[in-house]
Amino acid sequence: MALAPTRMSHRALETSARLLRLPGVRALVRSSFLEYIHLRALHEVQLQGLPVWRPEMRPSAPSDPPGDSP
Amino acid sequence: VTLPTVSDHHRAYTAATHTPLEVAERFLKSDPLNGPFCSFIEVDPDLVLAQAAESTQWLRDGAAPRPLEGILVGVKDFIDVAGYSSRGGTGFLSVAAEQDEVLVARLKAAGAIVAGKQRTTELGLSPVGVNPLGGTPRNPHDLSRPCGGSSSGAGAAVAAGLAPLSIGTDGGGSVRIPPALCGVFGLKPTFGRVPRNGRMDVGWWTLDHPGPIARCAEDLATAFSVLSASEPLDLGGDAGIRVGVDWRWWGVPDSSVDEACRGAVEPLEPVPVEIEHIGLADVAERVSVVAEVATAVWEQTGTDPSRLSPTLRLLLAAAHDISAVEYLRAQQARTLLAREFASVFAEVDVLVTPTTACVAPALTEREMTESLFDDELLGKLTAYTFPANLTGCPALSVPVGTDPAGLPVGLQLMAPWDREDVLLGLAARLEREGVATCPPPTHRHDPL
Repeated sequence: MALAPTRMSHRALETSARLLRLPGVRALVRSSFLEYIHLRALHEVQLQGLPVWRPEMRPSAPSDPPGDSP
Repeated sequence: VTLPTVSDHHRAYTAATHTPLEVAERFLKSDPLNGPFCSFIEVDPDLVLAQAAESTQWLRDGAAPRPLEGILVGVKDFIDVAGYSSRGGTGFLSVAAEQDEVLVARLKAAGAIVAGKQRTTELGLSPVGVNPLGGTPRNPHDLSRPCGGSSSGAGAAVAAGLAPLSIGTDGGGSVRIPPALCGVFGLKPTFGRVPRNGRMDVGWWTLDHPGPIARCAEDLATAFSVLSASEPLDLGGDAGIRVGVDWRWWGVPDSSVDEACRGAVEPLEPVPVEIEHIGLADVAERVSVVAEVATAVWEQTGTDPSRLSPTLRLLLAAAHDISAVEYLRAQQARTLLAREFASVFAEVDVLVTPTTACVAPALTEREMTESLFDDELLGKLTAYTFPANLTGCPALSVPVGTDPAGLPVGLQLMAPWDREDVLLGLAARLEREGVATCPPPTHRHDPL
């Protein structure tokens, strides 16, 4: 079941933000957020061997061997 | 009725029907800080009039007009302009700028008049365009709706006629979403083509791209050549451009957006292409953004979270549970996406999507001024914009008409790295053919 709500009003957001001071709520909010951004997807794809992105990279096609032209 | 472009201003100056000083005075009388559009957060009349007087004198002296001679340019409140502060849409940051950023210095050297600082969303984090800390710019096509974000004031000002040009920053779509929702043009250049060296740091380190918002492709091209200190571009050489569409990524936008965008694309006879892992863009962008922003503002906000709106408090608190491993995997996912885009760009010159999957949303008056989290709306506004930030390739939004209610629709064009010329050439062609157009808004300022 999804923990993350799909729509929250100002009042609901304000209440949730205040409750962040409580450790249990803080953990719940964080887990909801991580579910909301679908963090798991990063672990469901084969990324091994790929270089960590640097914004100045000019990439080559996926079929090329690992490494990127500068 | 069309709102005047840079060329229209220059014709008026050449014909001596107007001077830059008269245009600047008219702008100041429009109450840009409040007014109907609420697009500016800081305007210094003395600075504006001094630049306008200098430009007017330049023309009176018979000197050759510079590329942006006497053109009012608004600057997003993330970019440093000497004599102004940078707030980044927050209530707690206020960094006084003693110097212009390089990009602002280039604008002024090209004859531009900096009109002031433009409103944005809190830390640049809302694509909706609402700032709950006060001051949500209003969409000139419907004043009850937002402009999109985060360069919300920049989009509103150009669409409303307050300034022919604005300079925004784009970390996830912010110089494409407001133009799409406001019926104007926006260019996010290749990462690094336009330098950033301001003092205010709110993160977005690997994603931030400054770029122009304008009323036509020619003005975007002029602004881009000034901002990037590169030669003026020839917009006539678009013959034989191959256009691609990933129909799986295109998906199911709102029907009015789908209809307008398909109508613009189908005459281009697009080639079907596929970016296999496009679904990773959402998580890679969100992990990158929140980790970078939370890190950048931690010292200012960590001890006093009340300085942030509740949405940002929740978002940045949660960001601290993103591990270094996950951040780095997101950066590997960016490499994967960039390679897949490179592969597509071996087949086509331009990849086309809608800019957003919806038009400017209907919000209540309370929602225009308060915090709101709406997952579906956020998804619709950013469905197509993240990949160009993750990969750094250039992207441009052109207006392609309106929905039946008169709300603008935007079409996004993406090209290989450093090929802004291809994007601007195609945008100009679509404009010449009457495809890239939007009726002027009902609510507007007449600058000439």
